[in-house]
Amino acid sequence: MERNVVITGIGLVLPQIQSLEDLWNLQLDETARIEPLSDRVAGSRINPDEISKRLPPRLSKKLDVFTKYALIATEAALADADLDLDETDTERCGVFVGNCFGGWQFTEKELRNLHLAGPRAVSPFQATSWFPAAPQGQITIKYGLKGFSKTFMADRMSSVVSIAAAASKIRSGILDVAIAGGTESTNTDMVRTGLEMIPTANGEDDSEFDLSEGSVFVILEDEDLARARGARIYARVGEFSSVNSPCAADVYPKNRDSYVRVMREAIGNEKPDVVLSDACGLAECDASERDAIGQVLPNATIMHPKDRLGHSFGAEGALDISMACLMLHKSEMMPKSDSTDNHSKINSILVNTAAMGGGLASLVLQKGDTQ
Amino acid sequence: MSAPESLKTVIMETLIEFIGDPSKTVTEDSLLEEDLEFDSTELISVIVDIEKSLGTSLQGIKYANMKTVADIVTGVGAFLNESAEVV
Repeated sequence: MERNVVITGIGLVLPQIQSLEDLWNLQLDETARIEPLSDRVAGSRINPDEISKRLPPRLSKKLDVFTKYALIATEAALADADLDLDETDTERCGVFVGNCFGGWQFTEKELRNLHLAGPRAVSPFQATSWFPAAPQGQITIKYGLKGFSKTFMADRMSSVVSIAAAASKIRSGILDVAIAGGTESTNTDMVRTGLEMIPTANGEDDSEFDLSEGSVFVILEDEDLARARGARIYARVGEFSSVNSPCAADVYPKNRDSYVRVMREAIGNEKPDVVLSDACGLAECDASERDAIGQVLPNATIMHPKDRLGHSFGAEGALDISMACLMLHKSEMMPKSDSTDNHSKINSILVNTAAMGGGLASLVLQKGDTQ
Repeated sequence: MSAPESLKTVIMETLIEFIGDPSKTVTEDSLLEEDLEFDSTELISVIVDIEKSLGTSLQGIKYANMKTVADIVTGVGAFLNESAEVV
């Protein structure tokens, strides 16, 4: 029998966001998080002082910041779920991480060391700090987790894919618990230089494709087990769909029919009240998505929580899912200064996301406080 | 202070700084893996740190059989002696 999967905890590390309350009030907060990061790109970034003291120094010096973000967010998610892993079957608990770029802050420094002082000056932790599965490894080591685990690299879709994959493993009975989400560091010269070209590659030099960074993780559990331990349930994880809408490797999909298809496959007969749209800031992509939502869910309210931060790539899907969880749990729309929506109508939320090269994905989150 | 004593001091100080945990007691008899929780990459890293502390190259030192802090002191001392004889 297929099991239901619920989200019981949320943890995050995002620019100038210290708590779920900060995330909830993001649209009302007047703090200007987005600033010029270079001559060609703007975005938000995490102040290193906010995380430097939150891990033991011996561990910290081995890790790139994207793994540090993930460890801090994971710890916060477990605390939020009030889940004691000592009382959990660690062979049935897995870790699912979305990440796009790996650890370039660490790597850039070591490449300079290599260039200026030779191979002996390069940290022995270079390889293990850079590789995108480092957060998965560090989280499983820290908590002694032995269940099926995986890292997904799917551009800005990464953490929606990781959370959907985690839910699938619980649904099919392979796992009882999963720590899933994503993490990213974009605040490095190398990554920023690569990302500066996105608007141009998409034929929109003047578009606002802002960058961000950080980590968001959620705790997923088998619903019966979560209820048995009295867990607070944010949301139930619904259907997931992904489609390929082929385009160039550095271009986001613009095909309206592909957006229609991925959303229809995810929602089935459901009619989500809210769509957290991909709204990537590229005019053609956004117009296609908006038209598709208008066709598939003409009465849905469209929101985009990440507007105030920019794109955190591996983490941004999990950010949207977390906001959906908060809305479903509170039975309230995300607070916006111009919001006049009826608060009692949120039964399900659709999260959309996209990847360069043509990936599109949609995930449904449902109200979880009814059995 | 004799040369081996100064070498021991440098190595102990480097290890204590690397571990960065005042609750961990580091003695010559401390087992690197069991007591101080070193893995192989950390051992390489601390040898590079010792190299920097001493201001000399330890390139080529054999570290695979180092099990205790005393093994590091002895191994580094022997390596430096051999290097001096070669020169």
